[in-house]
Amino acid sequence: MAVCVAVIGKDNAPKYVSCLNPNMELDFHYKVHNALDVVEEKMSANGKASGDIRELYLGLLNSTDDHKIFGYVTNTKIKFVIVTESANTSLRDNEVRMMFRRLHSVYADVVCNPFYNPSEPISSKAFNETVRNMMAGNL
Amino acid sequence: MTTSKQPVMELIHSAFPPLVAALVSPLAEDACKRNNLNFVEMLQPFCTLPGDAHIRDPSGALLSVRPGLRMCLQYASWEPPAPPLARKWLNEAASLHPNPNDIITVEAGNQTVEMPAKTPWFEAWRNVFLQVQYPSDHEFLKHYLACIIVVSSEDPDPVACVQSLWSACTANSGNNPHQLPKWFFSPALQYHVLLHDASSPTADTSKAEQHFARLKAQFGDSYCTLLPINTESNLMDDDKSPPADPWAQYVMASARCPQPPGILNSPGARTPNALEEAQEVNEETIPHPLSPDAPDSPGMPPIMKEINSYNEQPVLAGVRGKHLSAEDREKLRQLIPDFATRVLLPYAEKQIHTLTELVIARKGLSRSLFSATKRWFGSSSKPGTTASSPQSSPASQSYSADSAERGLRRLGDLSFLLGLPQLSFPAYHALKRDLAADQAWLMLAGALEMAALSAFLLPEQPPTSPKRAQEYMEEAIDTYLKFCKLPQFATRAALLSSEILKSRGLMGEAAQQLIKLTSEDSDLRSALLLEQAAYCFFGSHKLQKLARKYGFHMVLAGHRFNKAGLRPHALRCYQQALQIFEGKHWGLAEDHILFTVGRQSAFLRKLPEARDSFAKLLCSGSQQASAQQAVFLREYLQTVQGLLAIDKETGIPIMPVPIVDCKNLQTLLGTPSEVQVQADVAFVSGTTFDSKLDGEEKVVWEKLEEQLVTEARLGQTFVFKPILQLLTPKSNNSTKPNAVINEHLAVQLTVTNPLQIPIVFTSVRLVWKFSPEGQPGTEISNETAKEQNSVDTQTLPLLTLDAGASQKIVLCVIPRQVGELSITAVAFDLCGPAPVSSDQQPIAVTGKIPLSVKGERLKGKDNPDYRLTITIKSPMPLLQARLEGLGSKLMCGETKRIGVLLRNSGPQPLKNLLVSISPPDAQCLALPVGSKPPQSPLSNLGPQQQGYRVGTLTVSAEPKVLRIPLPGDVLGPNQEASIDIWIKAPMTRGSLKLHLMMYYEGMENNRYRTLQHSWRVMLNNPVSITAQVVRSSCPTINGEQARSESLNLALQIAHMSSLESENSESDLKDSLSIQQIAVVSKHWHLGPMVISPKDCKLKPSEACHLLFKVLRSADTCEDKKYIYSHSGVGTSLNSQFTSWPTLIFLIKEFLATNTSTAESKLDLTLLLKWRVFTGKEIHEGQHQLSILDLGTTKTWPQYGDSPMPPIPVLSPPPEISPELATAQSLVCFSLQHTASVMHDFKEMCFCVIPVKIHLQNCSDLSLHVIVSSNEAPSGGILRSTQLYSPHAGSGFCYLGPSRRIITLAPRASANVDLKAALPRPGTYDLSRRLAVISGELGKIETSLQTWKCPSPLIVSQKI
Repeated sequence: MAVCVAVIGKDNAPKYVSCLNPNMELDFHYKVHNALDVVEEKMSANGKASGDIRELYLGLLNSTDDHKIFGYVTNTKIKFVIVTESANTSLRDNEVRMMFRRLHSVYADVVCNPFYNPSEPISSKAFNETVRNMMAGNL
Repeated sequence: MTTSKQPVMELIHSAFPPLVAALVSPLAEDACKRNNLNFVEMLQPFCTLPGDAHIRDPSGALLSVRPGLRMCLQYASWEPPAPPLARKWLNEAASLHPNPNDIITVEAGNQTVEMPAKTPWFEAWRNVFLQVQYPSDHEFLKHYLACIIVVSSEDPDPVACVQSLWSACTANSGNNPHQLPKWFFSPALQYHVLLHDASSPTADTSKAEQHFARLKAQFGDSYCTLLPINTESNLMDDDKSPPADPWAQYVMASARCPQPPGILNSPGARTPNALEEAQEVNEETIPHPLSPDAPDSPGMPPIMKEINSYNEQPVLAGVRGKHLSAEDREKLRQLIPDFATRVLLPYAEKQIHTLTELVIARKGLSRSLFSATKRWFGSSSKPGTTASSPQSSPASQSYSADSAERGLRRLGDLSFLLGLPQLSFPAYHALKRDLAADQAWLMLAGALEMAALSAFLLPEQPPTSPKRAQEYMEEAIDTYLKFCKLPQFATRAALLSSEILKSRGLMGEAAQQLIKLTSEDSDLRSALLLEQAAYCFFGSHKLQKLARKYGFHMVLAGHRFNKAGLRPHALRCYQQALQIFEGKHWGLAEDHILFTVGRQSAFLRKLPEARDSFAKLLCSGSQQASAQQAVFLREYLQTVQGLLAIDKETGIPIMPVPIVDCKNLQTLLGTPSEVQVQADVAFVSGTTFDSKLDGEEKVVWEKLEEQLVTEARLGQTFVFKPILQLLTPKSNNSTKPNAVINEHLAVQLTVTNPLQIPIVFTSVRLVWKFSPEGQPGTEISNETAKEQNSVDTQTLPLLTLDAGASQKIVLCVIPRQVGELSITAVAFDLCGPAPVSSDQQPIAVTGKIPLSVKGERLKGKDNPDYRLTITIKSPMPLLQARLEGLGSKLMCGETKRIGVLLRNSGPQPLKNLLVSISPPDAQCLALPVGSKPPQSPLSNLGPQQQGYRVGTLTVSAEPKVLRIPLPGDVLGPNQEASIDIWIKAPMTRGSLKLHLMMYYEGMENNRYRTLQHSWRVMLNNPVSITAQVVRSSCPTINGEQARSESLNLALQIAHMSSLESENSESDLKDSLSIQQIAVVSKHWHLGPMVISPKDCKLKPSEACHLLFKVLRSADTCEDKKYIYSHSGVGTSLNSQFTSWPTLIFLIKEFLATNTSTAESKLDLTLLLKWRVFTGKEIHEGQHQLSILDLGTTKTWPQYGDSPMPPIPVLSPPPEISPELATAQSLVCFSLQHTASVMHDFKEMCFCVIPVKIHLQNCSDLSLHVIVSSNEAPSGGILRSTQLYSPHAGSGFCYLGPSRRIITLAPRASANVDLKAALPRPGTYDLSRRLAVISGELGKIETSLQTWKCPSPLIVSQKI
């Protein structure tokens, strides 16, 4: 399923980046960071188009030979980025959407923790577990 | 990086210039060389066609050739560089200007990014790339349109020479279709130039004319021209060279860089060399061993040679064209335009017509038959087609040279080259349609590419929409890439296409095309394209720049540059990318970039940059794994080491680690030894770093110091300013502290290791600057020179900081000279991480961290902070003390002897030693060991009588500050003195700190030093005392003494259990014994103890009551003298000596607490001496209680709030004013009579008893006293209803005078005799019918005295 899941704060600093293959971490950091340009582009486009119903899911941000990068933005400008392998053609758009929704709810749980400082990186065990599951493919 | 259309058109044109070959005979070449130019060079500046050149299209319309069209002349013998050479050229072109000077700053979002304004290296590379293009068979763009054959008039037979040149040139081309040169037309168009060298010694104009005539006869008039050169007869001096040197820009460049000159400038400008006919040198062709051309191309060795010779040639550049006269130049200028307009263009026009006809003629056939046949038999027909180019993939289709497709292509190319896109586009377009059906991929791609370019070049009447043209181009690129596998053509197409797209503002698409061309096979190309793509992204949106994409592609480009070996470019790319990533919390990426920047800088020997990058990695709090950080550290150290090896003058480099907390730095003027509180012994050497000199503590010390200084300088006026020994961030550091020469100066620092690996430092030391006194301007530092005499620097040999650890370190210097010392930095040798493998050398680099302290900002400016700037002054005595017998557990009020060993370890004698102690209710006394105590203040001690002694106590004001008597008043250097100090513990329970400060002076006035010691004690209160003094109603104790006034002193003494060990077993062993009770008063002295317990040892929580008589002394005391009386208690009844310290402590406290004024009725101070035995030790102490009022209960200790007053049940008694209360207690009296009487009432009905009233004047006034008997019984109203009265009866009366008036002198007493008549047996209270009224003598006011003195009398019937 996903090979990399990232949460990026509203100042575009990473709050959480996790990937399946630890050796590729740098690679994914670059790719996710790169995708933020598209996120910003889409956000500014969205903001102009329709203010009433905001679609949080941004869809495909970037597609390379190896990976596809999907994005999702919460109302508080927290960005979720999921990277999947391009070879994995079985993944439907709906499933990606589900993953994001799930990620959002887990993230909300993290933020609800009174001991969590929203400006800090996420270090929640439960969040980690969910992301691991997501990357392992058992949603 | 937006580009307008015009430069892009220029670029396209310059990419495809019309080529003309030159064949020059050796003699002609020699003639040219005399001008330091070869033939091609000589003509280079003059290759532009005139603006009015035009051509007729097949329909007869007049089309003007593109104005400014440049012919490109080059030697026919030139061949494209061999692949390795081509690569070298490309590399060299790209490595130009790696560090651009003109930097522009672009704002992107909320950050600014610096980037080069231009990318000359890319343009240079692009030009070279376009130059070295291989003239492929599928297109004619790189084929020579014509050949200019140049022979000299010196040649014996110009015609033969021409022919031989031509045949030599075309000798091999017959059998090998790939043989260069390739000619656009067949047969090739020739043009013949007869060069006449006028300066040649054998020059003969007439002979030249003859030769020319022969040439014209042979080749036709219009195809020949005579070019006389070197007609300049008077050779000018070098410095008067003709002002215009039109060759300069073409030839100079070649001298500057080792490239063939045609490459640097726009290709049309001057390409005399063989570059234009460049072979396809792309890398793909090299490794193919079966390729017939590549490995053993016959032309290769001469190429190399020629290039080399060419490269060397410009070095010997002298003045160019000095033999060329103005006419010569005019001729040269005319040569090419003449050739073009007279020969080339008409020929081209003819060719266009021919080709058009041919195409039209053969088109129908080929459409209907050939292509259909090919489609049916496509695969089988392939072997039969003309030989394919070595690169042509199986999917490409080849056509015979005279096929319609090639004709069309030739037509398109010709018109394109001549700048006639309106002709070329239809040709390419038609060709595209045909080829698409034939699956001739290579030719199709070429046609598509050229169609798109032609369309772009027709902006006025676009033959197709720009979008369509773009699609053509994309298709071309894809086809080149996918079907033909010819990335070099795809790259060419993409380079041009991306420029077109950029000019149309389609940055994203341009970037996409560039990125598409990046591949594994050429790092340089990928790097350059990625970089350009990055710029595209950055310039893609006006409002929102895709900065992150820019950064990412910059990183990729940097990576590829690095792989391609162009480190300066790689470094530049990474640095540009770093601007995007820095400080954005993308730590992993940032660290990677920083590390790469560091590595690249190090490789490029840009060591300062490398050091900065690595330093950032070390102190940025990077979260990398420890192994990675170890690498960072090692790289950093190696860089610094390398830097030091180069530049030795910079001093010690500043290190990023460890982090030093300068804010909380402390400086100690003195030896930083620890106070060892081991058991009871403490070595006091002054202040330490742990002394918390802030807040209360600071106030305490300053107060002590002020006391001491005030005492020491009695009578002098001075402004007190505490001297600082420990400079902390909180102390007042606004003046430079003074230190003493030859004494330690210690600085305490907190160092933190931010890394996740342990770091080892060796020889940690302070770096200082010292300017000796009296030598302003001279400044000595230990930063560079090792050994210095003025200051000794102590070194910490090893310091290991664990990962993330913080540690406090103390570093010392010892100044050896008077002057001013400022500590600037801490230096150390930073050791690298342990070597991973054995071949790595352990590395250690000396570094420093500057120390700077800043004062608080006050009123907008920084307060000076002199924590690190210290004035060194002349020597002073240095006192050290060893305290023995300091207890950490004390009792409240305990008097403790402490042995003090004083030692002056300074070089000067010490005098005026003073001591003060805090808190204020602690006291101290000092005596040299073995010396007699000074005179006791107690004198006239009377003999012991009835367990008490009375004496006189002289109370003189004792100073708060104690002067320590020294033998000879001076303690010389290295002398020692033993002194006993008694300390009386404070009276407050609990844990508190005792502060002891010693003051001493050296021989110099106005300089003093202090020695401080403080220690924490636990104070227990062992004793609680309740005391009450009441008037004694019974003056007679034993006969005559009773004449004086007397009081009763009731004491309740309890042993309080200690705080921490309540009811513990050991506690039960404690016992408190009361040693002595003493009273100090002006008028009263202690009388005998009324109840004398045998043993007064109290276990915890036990209490005892004692009752003393206090008698009024007859004598009056002088000022400052008090009556002192004391009495032993219990077993210690007879220990009647009161020790000196006890008395002094008593006096001190007495003075401190005795606030009694004359008005108080009682000025009585009670002293209780006690002794507590705990299991191990004996504590002795004393308590003092001053009793001011009669009757009130005085308690010590007093607990918190006063107890709640009882809730009044009845209405409270009326308030009595104090004056009235005093007036009512002026006199006390007592009755003296027998206690019981036996009387026979039968005998006599009254029993008459003599009663003596003893009146005592308790005041200092003379009184008149009225004694009134037979008053109505007061108080104790008899209830007649009760059978038995609990009260003594009052049914009696006094006989005789019932009212007497007596005058009483002050404190005097008098007796009045009365008789009482008692009617019946019973118990009577004889005082009940008495009233004493008194008033001051001479005053009318009198008041009834309230003194009550029940005096029972039992009368019984005598039987």
